[in-house]
Amino acid sequence: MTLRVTQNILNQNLLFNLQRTNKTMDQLQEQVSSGRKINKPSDNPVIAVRGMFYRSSLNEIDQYKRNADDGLSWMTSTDEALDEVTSVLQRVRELTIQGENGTNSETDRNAIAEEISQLKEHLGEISNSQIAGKYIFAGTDVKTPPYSSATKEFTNANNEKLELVVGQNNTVQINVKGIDVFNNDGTGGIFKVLSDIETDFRSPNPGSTDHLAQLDGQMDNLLRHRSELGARMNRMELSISRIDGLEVSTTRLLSGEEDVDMAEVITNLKAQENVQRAALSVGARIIQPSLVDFLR
Amino acid sequence: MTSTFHGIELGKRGLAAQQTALSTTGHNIANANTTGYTRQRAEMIATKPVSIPGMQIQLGTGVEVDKLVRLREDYLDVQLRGENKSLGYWEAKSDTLTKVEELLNEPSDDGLAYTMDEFWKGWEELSKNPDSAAARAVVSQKGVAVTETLRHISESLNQIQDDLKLVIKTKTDSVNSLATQIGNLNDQIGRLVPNEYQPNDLYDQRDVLIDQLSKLVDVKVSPPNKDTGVVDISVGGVLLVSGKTANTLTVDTSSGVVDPANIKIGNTQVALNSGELLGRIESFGILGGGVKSTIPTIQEKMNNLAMTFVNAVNAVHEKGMNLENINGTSTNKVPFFIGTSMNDIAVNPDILKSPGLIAAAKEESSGQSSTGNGKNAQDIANIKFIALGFPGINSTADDYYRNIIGQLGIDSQEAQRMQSNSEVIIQQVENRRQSVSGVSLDEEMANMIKFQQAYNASARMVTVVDQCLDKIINGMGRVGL
Repeated sequence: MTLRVTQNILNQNLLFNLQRTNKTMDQLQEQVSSGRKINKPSDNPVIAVRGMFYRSSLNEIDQYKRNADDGLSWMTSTDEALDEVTSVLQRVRELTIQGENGTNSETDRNAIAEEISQLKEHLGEISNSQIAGKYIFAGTDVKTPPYSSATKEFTNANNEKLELVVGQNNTVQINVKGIDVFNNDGTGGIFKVLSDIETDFRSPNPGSTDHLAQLDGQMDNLLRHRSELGARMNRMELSISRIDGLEVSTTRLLSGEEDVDMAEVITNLKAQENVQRAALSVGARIIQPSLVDFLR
Repeated sequence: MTSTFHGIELGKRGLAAQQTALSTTGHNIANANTTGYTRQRAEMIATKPVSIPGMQIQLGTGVEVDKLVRLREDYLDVQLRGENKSLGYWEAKSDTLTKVEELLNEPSDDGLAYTMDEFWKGWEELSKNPDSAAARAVVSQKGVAVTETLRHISESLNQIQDDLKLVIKTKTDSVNSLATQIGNLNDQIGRLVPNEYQPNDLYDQRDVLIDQLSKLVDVKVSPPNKDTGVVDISVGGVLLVSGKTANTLTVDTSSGVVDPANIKIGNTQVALNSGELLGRIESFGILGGGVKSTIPTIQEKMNNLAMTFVNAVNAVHEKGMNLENINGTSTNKVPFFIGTSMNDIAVNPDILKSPGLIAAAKEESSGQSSTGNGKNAQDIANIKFIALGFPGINSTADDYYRNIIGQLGIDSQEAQRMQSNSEVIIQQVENRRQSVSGVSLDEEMANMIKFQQAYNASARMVTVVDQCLDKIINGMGRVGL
């Protein structure tokens, strides 16, 4: 049986096909305007789920980046503070060598003691360094000044680490515990050593304590913490460059999954437009003529 | 010898038959665009010949219209109706699934996944600045965003379900109304056919109604009764229309999910196996439906997600120390979230009032901690990466949610593909049916000319006989006049 084709079949098929090309055009247009291959999970479930994963990863990376930047500025401030502490100790060491020289008069020694006293106060200020309103040498007790200007003592005994997450399973300690640097021997640390020197120089009968050895002990301790901090800063910088790399690659992956190839989509859209145009002009032809038009 | 007026009678029959054929053509043209109209053809046969006594011949007596045939192929009806029920089923499914997809709005920068990411980031920031009131306010607000998103999803799912309940009611009513109309047509047809009438147009109307019914439920149509032309229609093996009697289909949605035992025709349970109605019922929820129950499955999974997430955050939160604990003004610890299901979860109002109750710190020594301690906040932020105990599976909250979205995408994609396949098949079957039953104006015009000419010729036949008779009557036996 040959298929009998009636006007209605032609009309219906035309409509059906126009519907289909319209639907494809709609999808392509949505892709062009949104710039994305998919707009619903059902467009492509695999891409949708992967896209969600990469989006979430980018959010994490964004946070890690902020953490790392914050951590680095915290550590840089700490390093600057410790650098100043080093300078102060070096000056104290010079003064101590000068003061222990037997040729000094009592006035000279008092002058030296006075300078050391001033340096000690300065050290107190350094140990109360703040970043964004937080005392950096106070462990987790960031709101209380660790150095008491009243008693002129480093009173903070907080032994807590401050850690930041800069990657999954990657935490970096950002603080140097004040107690380790300023109060390292449990009997007063730097401030005690400086007080001892000052007292000794003010006294008419200097004691026999080996101030230089004590100062060097403090200096060693300080250097140890500074180099540890330096190592951690290195690690942080490495993390930052790794995070930057990860951000680039994850963005690329997300874009590869979700973003449309504009040239491709626009070409498809153009092709589809042509099909649509052809279908419409054919439609205009088939709808019109029937035998009715010729039987007059 | 034949009768004198044989020729006139013969011509008259010709005129009548061609006129009937012309009327049929006119009826076809008039109904060229009528939905479900089946083209008709006047089937002409030669009338009974007369034997001429003494001669071994039979003389033709002309033509008559034996019947008006309805040009239709039953097999195509069966095929179309079979495909129609699949189309209805998948249309209903893809409609619901697309709505849920739009509701969840993933992957995007403003769906639940994004809100949860922001929540975890809030805790991470708080862990850096546990002393900051601003960071505390941010965490509580991000928590509000998460609970609001979840509640919105919950409410919208309920809304979709409520709508489906109405749709099921409407569709059930449609089934019953169609059944009644088919019963009425059966009644009319059953009164005409035994009296030798051919109610072709009533047959068409009945077929259209059966086509409509076949999209809603899976119908089986009995062959028409030879004597009465009546058909019976059964759904899932139960009679919906029996002769002129229509039974009533009922679906009980009152208990929240549909119990298959409560889908009945009359008092008999009926097992629907396809059609739009079943698609809607499965979207709404059906007992023992398993993965078929679209909305309840999504609701359950989303609720698992919400409650597992809330409990995980609360468990860690209540281990930590808030500012009141640290300052020693109180030893009270409060949950971060409150609520028992996705419908009513919220950030603890006490926390919204005093963000100091957020437990960002971990104990440093027994009952002691500091304002700068953000370790508990960090632990909460880390929940993002921890496999939580979801029913039946251990996975991170993110993974569980991605799974929901992936499954939804796959289900919806399948429904859309099946729907579009059914559309193509229906289009093809419909074309074949139109090819058999559809009116072609060209064809009708050609027929019109054909019948018109035959009519004219029959008239001429009458004229010729008339002239012959004139010859006999007026021209013969008048010799010499």
